[in-house]
Amino acid sequence: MIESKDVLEIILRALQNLNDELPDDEKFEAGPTTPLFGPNATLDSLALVSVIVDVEGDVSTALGRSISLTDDRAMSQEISPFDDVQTLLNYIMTLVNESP
Amino acid sequence: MLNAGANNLDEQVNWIESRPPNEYNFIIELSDFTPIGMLSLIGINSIHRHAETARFLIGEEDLVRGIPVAVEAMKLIYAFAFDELRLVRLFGTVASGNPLMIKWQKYLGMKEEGRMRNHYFINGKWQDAIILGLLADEYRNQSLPRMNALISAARRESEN
Repeated sequence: MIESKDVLEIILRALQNLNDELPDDEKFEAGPTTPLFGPNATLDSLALVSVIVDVEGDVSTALGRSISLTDDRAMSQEISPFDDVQTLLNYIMTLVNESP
Repeated sequence: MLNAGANNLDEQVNWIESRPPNEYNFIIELSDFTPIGMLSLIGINSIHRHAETARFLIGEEDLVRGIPVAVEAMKLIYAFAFDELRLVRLFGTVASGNPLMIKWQKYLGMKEEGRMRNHYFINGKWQDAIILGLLADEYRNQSLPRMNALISAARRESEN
C-alpha cells in the first residue's frame, strides 16, 4: 500500500519532469496547491498529458495494479481531479484505498 | 504566415493555390471565428487509404489558455480522416527534441513506428524525426475516449 505522501511525491516529481522539458520562461513553481488544468491553470493539454502519463505509470508501479486518471469515472467526479495538485492527490488516494 | 517562405499576402495566396488536390489545410478557429492556428491532412492516398497529419500549429497562447484547442483540433481531423474519408491509417513525424508532443501523441493512441536520423535542422541543431502511426481501430478504442476525457476535463474546469 502506498501512502498519501508517496503519491504527493509522485505528482510533484511528474511536475518537475515537466518543468525540466519547458523553456525557462514557461517554468512554474510546483507545490500542493498548484492549479493544474483550466482557465487559470498552469498546464495546457500537452503538459497535462505529460503529468498524467508519469503519474499513472509511477502510481501503478508502486501499487502493483494499473490505475486510469482519464476514464469515465474520473470525468464524472463532482470535483475534477485536475483542479489542482490536492484534488489529484485526493482522487488517486480514493483509487489506492479501493480493493484491487 | 502559413510558412517561413510566405512573406506577404501574395506569397501566401500562391502557396495556398499551389497545394495539391490530395491534401486539406484547415484553419483552427475559436467559436467566435478568431483564427488561432492550423492543421493539415496531406498525402491522402485513396487506394492505400492513408494520410499524414502535418502543419499542426497553435499560436495565440493567451487566447487559448484553459481551452483544450489542441485536443479538439486533433479530434476533428481524426474524425474527418477516419469517419468521412474512411482512411485506415494516419501517420506523422515529430522532432525528437519535442518530447512533450511525442508523449502527447502516444497517449492519444499513436504508436512509434520508426526514426529518421538527423531529419530536421531546428534552432541550429540536427534532430531525428520520430515516425508515429495510428490505425482506425486504435483511434476508436484508445484515441477517442482519451480525447473526450481531456476535452471534458478542460471544459468542466472552464465552466467552474
